[in-house]
Amino acid sequence: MMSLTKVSLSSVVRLQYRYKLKAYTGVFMGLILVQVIGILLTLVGSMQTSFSNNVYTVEVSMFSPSLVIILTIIWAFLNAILMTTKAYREDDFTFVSNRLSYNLSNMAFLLTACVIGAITALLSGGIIQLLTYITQDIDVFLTVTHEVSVGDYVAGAVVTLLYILLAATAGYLIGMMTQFNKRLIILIPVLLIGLNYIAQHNGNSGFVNILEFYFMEYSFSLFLLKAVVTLIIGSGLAILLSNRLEVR
Amino acid sequence: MMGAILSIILIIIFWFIAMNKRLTQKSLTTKKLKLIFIGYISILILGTVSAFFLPSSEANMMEGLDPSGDMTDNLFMKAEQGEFSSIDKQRIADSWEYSYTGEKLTLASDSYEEGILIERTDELKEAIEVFYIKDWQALGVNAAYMDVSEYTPDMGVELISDTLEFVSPEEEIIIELAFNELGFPMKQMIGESQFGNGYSSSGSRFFYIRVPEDLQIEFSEYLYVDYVNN
Repeated sequence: MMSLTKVSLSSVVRLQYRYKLKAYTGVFMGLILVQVIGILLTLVGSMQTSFSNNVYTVEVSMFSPSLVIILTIIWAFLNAILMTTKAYREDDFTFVSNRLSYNLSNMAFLLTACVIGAITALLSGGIIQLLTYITQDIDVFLTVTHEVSVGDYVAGAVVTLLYILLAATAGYLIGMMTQFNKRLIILIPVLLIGLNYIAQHNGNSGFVNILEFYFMEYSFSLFLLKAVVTLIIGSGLAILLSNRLEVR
Repeated sequence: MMGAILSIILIIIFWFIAMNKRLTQKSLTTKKLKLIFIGYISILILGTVSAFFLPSSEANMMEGLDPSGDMTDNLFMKAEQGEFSSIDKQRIADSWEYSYTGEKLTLASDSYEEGILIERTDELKEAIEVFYIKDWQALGVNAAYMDVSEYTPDMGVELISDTLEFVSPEEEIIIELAFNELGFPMKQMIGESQFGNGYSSSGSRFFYIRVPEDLQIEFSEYLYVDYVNN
């Protein structure tokens, strides 16, 4: 049966996006679970540094939201992969839609989830500090605030969001690649590990170079440029790949 | 670190087992899920606001410290070369002045293991001046260093008859500090490396004693005593 109603792309994307926000509640429950685990692990497994002579011992336990941020990055990566699976793709056929609207609504949903993930991961720092104060026998609580400006905090928050988005985009792209060809599930890790091995064998640092490309970039504007370009390339490739997927 | 890696692996395994079911499958109603999520965010916001009111001190981060040993700024060496007056007065943690008429002074301590520097001077007659110098005490925090010297206990001295006794706390003191580190993206933006392990490193901690030129000094071989090169 043919529909005579002409529906614009933006209204379809909006409709699919709203549906996903209501339907994929498991994504947000997973976020809470992962972050609570991260907070608890930070409390029980904090890093310590110490100095001792025969007169005194100074022990410093270090607490930070880094583990929660790392787990949120993994959460984004895994959820993005799951969203590309056939079961989720079929959800979108409840609407009059095409591949582009499917991808755009997925990306809008992932962006929303990543923003929420980044905000909650950053807020976890406060609860970690509060719980440390309540549960541990601490003489003095040390913080670093004087050296950090509001601009640094804002830049740090944006960088946190970009890391989570990069992970989600990587997950989405890998998910699409494996949907495109199931053999890639095995081929991708083999290729990555193999290429890394060859690079290291030839005196190159391999994956370390990729990590340094992002993690050792101390200029906010350059990091922003690198991340945005990577996000555009990753999303573009994912859309291209999904267009070549078999029609239902 | 291993714990963190292990927990990440466990979470990934758990994730795939748990998410084998559809993300849209609901055991809870949407209303309950909304309440859980709003509750979680409220707790996080409450925690963040409360954290601002917790008693805390600003960590003294040390810029450009080379723990491999740049000795040009070593206070003990400076004082040994006769440059005691050039040492920053803030580094003198404590000082004592005694009138002393004896011809012989004995230095003693049960537990003091750090340096003692003696300056013979004709400026002093029938008096002894003792200074306790305390420089930085750096602890490695990833690739950065934090000075915790203000939390370490000072040593004391007592003059009993003809013996100058260096007194340390009766029991070994344990100072428990907690350091609220910034998340790694914040650290990256303030130019702090995520990689590397800092080591503990100490500046100088020593007693500087000024005595009359003709005073005879005796001490146990367990004490590390040196004289200023005048």
